[in-house]
Amino acid sequence: MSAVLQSVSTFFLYAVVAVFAQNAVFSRALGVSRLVKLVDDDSTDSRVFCLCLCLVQLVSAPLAYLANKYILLALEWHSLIRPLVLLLCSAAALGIVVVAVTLLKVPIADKIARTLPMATFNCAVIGCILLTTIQNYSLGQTMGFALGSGLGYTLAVMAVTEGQRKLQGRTVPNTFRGLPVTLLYIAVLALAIYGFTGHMAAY
Amino acid sequence: MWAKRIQYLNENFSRIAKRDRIFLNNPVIMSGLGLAPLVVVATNGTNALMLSVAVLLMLTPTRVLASFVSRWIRFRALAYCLCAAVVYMAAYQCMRQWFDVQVVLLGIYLPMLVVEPIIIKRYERATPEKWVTALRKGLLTTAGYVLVILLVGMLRELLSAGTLFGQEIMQAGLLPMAALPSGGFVVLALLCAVWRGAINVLKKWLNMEAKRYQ
Amino acid sequence: MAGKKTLQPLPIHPDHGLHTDYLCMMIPLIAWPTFLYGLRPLVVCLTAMVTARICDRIACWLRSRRFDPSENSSIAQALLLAMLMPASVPYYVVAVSVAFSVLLAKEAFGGYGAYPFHPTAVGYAVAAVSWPQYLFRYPTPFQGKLPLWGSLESISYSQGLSSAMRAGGVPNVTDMDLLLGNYPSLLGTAPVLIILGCGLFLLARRRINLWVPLSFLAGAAFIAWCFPRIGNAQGWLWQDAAQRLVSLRFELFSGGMLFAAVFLSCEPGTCPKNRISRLVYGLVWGILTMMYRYYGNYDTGVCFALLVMNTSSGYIDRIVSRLVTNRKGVRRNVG
Repeated sequence: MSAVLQSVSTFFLYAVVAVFAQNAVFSRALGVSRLVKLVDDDSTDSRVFCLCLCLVQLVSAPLAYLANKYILLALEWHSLIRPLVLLLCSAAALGIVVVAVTLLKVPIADKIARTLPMATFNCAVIGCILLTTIQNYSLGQTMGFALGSGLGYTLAVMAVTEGQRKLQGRTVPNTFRGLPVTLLYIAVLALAIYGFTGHMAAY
Repeated sequence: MWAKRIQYLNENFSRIAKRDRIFLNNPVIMSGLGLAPLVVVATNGTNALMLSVAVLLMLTPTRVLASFVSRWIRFRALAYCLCAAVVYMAAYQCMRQWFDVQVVLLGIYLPMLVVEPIIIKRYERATPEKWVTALRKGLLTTAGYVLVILLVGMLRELLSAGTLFGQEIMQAGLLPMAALPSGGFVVLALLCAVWRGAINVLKKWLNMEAKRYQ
Repeated sequence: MAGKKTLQPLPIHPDHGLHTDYLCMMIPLIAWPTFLYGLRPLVVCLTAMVTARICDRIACWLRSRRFDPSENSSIAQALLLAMLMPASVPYYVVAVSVAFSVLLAKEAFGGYGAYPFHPTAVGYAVAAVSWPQYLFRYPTPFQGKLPLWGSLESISYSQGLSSAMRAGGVPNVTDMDLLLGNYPSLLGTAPVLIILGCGLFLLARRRINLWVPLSFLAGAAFIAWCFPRIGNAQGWLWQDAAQRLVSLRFELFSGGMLFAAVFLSCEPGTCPKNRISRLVYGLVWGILTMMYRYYGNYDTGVCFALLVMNTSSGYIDRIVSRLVTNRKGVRRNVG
């Protein structure tokens, strides 16, 4: 019983840490290029993208854990093939999500299928499973961190989208319009997160 | 002669700018690609150098290889990433040979180059490209990205510690925050703004000169 | 001879009075640290104001705009930033953080009223993160005049209140000293009575609203009462009231809480507009600040919490407006 409670509390602790103190965007700048492009154009729906990202993250995390345990740790030259193995894990996760979404006949299935490649081969997803495998997290820690990482990215997208209302104003100087002012906005939020932890997130 | 050249440059500015991936259409400054390693890892000149070598070794070979592979594997995103992962293996060996354990300073951002938009962005376009085009564009993009990495790395080292590649230039840093990710975002934003301002000044000057000769 | 083109004088900026009032409130606030530390606090404030004005001019030159001397928000915000630093802070730290706050946090985002974050909070965050060794080092009061030039390594420093509070102990400061600000701390955040007086004055002149400061203090008080970290209050929420009151007093009167509530909370560009959203904003800000103070790394967590809240002020406004609109789409009076 206490072991179950222990693992559940570890799960939630790692999730909360990954959302706030080690936010994927604000502490480690993972997926910033995609984020900046996402909030700028209206062709991709941010909510669908974040949903896809969270789904792929949650499915690829246990796959990466298993791959780490049985393939990577058993080999001596694991640093060489780690990206390849983890890439195949996320590709498998993409396949699983597509199959699940199609079988469950979700109404926005085709939108999800179109957004999935962008959401899978993404620095945020690969970065998260790189972190969990290099630091050899247990399964509970991996799942918690993956959930927190996805939620943290979603929060970052929401925060920057909210900020766009002010950042797209007429008074922003011409040279700062677009990318520079969005980067400044993210910089200030990164500063606020750093003010809590007081040290850089390890990478 | 000069007048004709100025007029030609003025009329075709946007076309010329699109092809120039080093100054006028830099992949980082204009398109915001490849920001993650720049912001977190390029905190000093040495890290910037290692990162530049890594991108040099990976970008062009990946693009050329993927231009062949994507003709057979229809799922282009996976094709590009797999090529990048295969090229990574060779690139990692070279990096270990040249830089030894210092490669660890790059952390997860070195293996993450496999999915970095600056390397695999081409997958978003449907038509596969010829290998000659891939080679040319890959080399130009690499040059543009390496220029920005080195600039940002050296600037951040100067601002945060007052040194350059370890040699002391000033007594203390002007802004120690430049070594943190938030400082990286700020330095990059300022570099972007100054660069774009310079391009605007160039455009205006070309316009004025062209009007003078009309 | 061609006549010189005379420019029309610019009209007085609409928020000129607001920032002039803030500047006037700094005068009683700077009197106390001048009494404690000599002339150095005045020179620090002067550095901040001069840097702010120079940065204003630079920004107007870069944007090819006419300089408007009646737009004095930069000076007021720079002075607020200087008040958040101790008297022993080096001048270049003040200058760099004020330059950052004016040029990047204000002008790069579009100038007065268009910025998403309070420039003082951004400048403070930059300073705290870059130079924690200068910003959290408090000179001992009444040790004679602090030197105006040269290094400040040789003067004596004391621990502030937060080092004792982090360890869970009650600081060794009497109530009178706490109210007067007679303990090692920042320039303008310690004298509680003066800050309260300034707050009442600004309220009477309708420069600040009542809701954000009150709800901020209420949120912080709730956390300090229910989950005190100093003293040894145990039991239910109504037990050990004396201990909880001690925690309440020290948490609310230290760490720049009252200063932020009075001077930083009601900035026109970043504060929500409706009464209910102001209440919600202040409450969440108070609770977040206490989280920063309990578990965060820096003594003054209130500015970092303000940065986080500034991102959501527009969002809270929209949610509240949507909730109070009744079914027919007619807006109820929300204040």
